[in-house]
Amino acid sequence: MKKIGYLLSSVIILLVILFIILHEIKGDYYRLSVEEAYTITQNERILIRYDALDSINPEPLIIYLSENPVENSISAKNYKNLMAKPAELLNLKYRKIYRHTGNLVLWSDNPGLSAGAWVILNRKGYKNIKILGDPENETFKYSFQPDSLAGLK
Amino acid sequence: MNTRVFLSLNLAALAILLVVVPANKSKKDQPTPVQQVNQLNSNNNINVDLAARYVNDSDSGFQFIDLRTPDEFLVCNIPGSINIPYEQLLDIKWQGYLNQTNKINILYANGDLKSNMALTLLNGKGYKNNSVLNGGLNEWFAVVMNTEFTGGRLTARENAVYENRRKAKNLFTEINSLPDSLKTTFLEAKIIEEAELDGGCE
Amino acid sequence: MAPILVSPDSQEWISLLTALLIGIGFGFALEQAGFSSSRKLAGMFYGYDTTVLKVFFTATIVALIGSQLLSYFGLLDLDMVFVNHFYVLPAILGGVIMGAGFVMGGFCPGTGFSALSIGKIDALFYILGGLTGAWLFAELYPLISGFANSGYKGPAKINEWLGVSPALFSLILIIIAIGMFWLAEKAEKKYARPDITKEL
Repeated sequence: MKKIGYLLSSVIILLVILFIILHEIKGDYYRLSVEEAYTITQNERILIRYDALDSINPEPLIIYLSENPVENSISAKNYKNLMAKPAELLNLKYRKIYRHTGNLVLWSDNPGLSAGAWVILNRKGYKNIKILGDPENETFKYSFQPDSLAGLK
Repeated sequence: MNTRVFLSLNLAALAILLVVVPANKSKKDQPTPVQQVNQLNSNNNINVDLAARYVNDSDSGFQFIDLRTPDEFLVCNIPGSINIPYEQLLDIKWQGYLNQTNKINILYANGDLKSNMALTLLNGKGYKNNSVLNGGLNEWFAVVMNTEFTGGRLTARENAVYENRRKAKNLFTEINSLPDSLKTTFLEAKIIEEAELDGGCE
Repeated sequence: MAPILVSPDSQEWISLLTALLIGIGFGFALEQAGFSSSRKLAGMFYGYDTTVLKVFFTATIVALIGSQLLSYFGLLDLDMVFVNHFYVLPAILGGVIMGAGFVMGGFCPGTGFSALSIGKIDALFYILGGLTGAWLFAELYPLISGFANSGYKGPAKINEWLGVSPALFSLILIIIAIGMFWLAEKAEKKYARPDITKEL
């Protein structure tokens, strides 16, 4: 009777460990809630200019997001780089790479894509991610000229 | 080994496992990371020409949402917008606008970053019917507000695009040239009206 | 969500049936563990029988680990689990009253009903007393509501107060529990009384 008890509880623990391993391999869950990620987006400088890439230490891995990944001028030049389709961003092989890389820089021809990917990767628990882009684009570049006659029409 | 000691050790081992594994913050009614990554592709973003058409038609199926600060919003905004500053995105008072099934929200800020992060966060909460204005207000100014008749012959198609932009530009200028007090009054009236349409906000 | 979810949307009879099934299981376990004897609970106070501590503490830590594992596997949303609201002084006073009642009566409300079901007369009077107390509290509530609502802290959690993760807090609590079990066994030896199992 005692032996069965020992065996049973050992089996339960082994099963739990097995399920945890399977769950981690699948990895389809978030480590940060929306609220936590939202707080980070408010406090962190996310955009980084191309000429500031050198100042990142250790050397960043640049991830070029595109439906048709082709060689591109920025990532091909001087930095470690990776080309990924957005939908494959969370494949196991990429997740392994992220985990062993200190800094990630996302880049895409569509700035919206990298912003979305940034939020998802952050909620997945990866830290030190930047987006390659010009912070100037996030400020209002034009000035609005009111038409003083508009009210009279 | 004593059974109690064995069971105690088992429990402690499970607890140590729990400390090692990360917490799972996914919710049942929210999309999983893989679902969200797949959503990244579905290009439901709206370009400025389409937005200009919605403005000209004052299409009630669409709601522009300005994520910039209230000060920036008061200087100028796309006609028909309401202002939900990014700093208040998850405030309870705006959830009725962001989580609804009646119309398509079009989020915009100056550029692409904030609006797209907001969109992904809102999608992550399981909210539907949100989209983004590609390029934001900078793109709107670059394309719609800087539209000029360059002379020469236009094809019918070019002419339609030009007319659409010109009308939106005039409307934008006209509405944003109103005195600040009038704009605020208009906006407050709009928010109250929407709340009533929703059958009261709890 | 775990299979025993009782959501506001589900039909009422499902909730009631779930409650009934859980109640039967709980009562059965209490009776079988010997909790229908008032000496078990009183023994905790005098130190000769610490079964109550061991059973309830074990139940607590098993449930703690179980719910967190379920949450990790995405089967349970811990944010949906109700957390009792905390009122500092009223909680202390209430705890003292409850504890005194437990020692004197030898039952807690659950074990009281468990003992009543096997026909113990003391349990009948214990429960009547409890109901009278609840009725008195309800009648006197307007007089004491000022105190009853003082020191409100909301749905407070110890791990948030300490600033540690729920998992780490579980580990700490389990280590504390194991220490308590060890102390409890020592106390049982020190304050041992003649075995009463056969009389029960």
